[in-house]
Amino acid sequence: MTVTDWVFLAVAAVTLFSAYRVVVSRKIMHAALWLGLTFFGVAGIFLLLGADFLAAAQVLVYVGAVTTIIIFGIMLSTPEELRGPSPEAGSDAASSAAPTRRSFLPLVTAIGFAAVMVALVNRGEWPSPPGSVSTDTPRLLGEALFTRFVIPFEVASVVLLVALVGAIALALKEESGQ
Amino acid sequence: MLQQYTSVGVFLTVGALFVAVTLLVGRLLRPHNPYPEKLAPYECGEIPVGGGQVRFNIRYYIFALIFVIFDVETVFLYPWAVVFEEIGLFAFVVMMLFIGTLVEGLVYAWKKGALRWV
Repeated sequence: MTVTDWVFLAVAAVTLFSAYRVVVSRKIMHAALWLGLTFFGVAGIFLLLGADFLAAAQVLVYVGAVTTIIIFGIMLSTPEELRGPSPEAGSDAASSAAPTRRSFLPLVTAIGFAAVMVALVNRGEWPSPPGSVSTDTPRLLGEALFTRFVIPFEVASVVLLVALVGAIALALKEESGQ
Repeated sequence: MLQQYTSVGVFLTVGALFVAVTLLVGRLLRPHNPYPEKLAPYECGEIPVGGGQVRFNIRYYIFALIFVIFDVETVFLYPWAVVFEEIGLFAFVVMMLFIGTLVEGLVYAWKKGALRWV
């Protein structure tokens, strides 16, 4: 095994472990922090694939911004919403469904998702093997964005605008409703 | 390819080890003697009032979201700057349209008073 293989195994192990901790953490704030580490591990995998700009964008947007917004979302919830109904107050139906929710369904979902991903990887056509592309990825991305993909690029700004206006409208509605 | 990121890897490893070793040494050296006053959250020497988990104002969320959106914009600025000289005026117009659309959102937030701190 080469050094790259070892680094990949280490990064993949960190990513998988932190993703597992996101699911099993009982405290939602811990889950959010583990999610940040998961995003960071994914950035490491992008880097190993030769996508250095994508890795930087992953750290900037996902680790920096998306994790922040998730933590803000937790801070905006009331403590009761975060903890859910207390176990004593839970009905019989909820307590009997709990083992299914905790073990069976996540397992089925995980296996199903893994199967879909493996099928996609096997069926997909890969224009070039990883790492063989020129290392100047920002230039390649810029050339693609501002020549061939100009329209999708402009549509992306509209999508961002919709997200911004929608969130402001919802937040102000919430505030005036209280 | 990986060699140019060796320093990043060393930095991450040393950073993680520094925290882990510091916490481990602290755990080995410190006396273990907790009592209620010591376990209480520190609030500038006062006795803490109320719960530690409170609901924050929804306005924080708007600021976080505006940050996310302009963070994404920054990511696009970088490849734009790299190819700017080759593509020239067209790239400039395209980027101004992109930024203009987002500034529209900022103006909306401003007009609606979402940026005002109350």
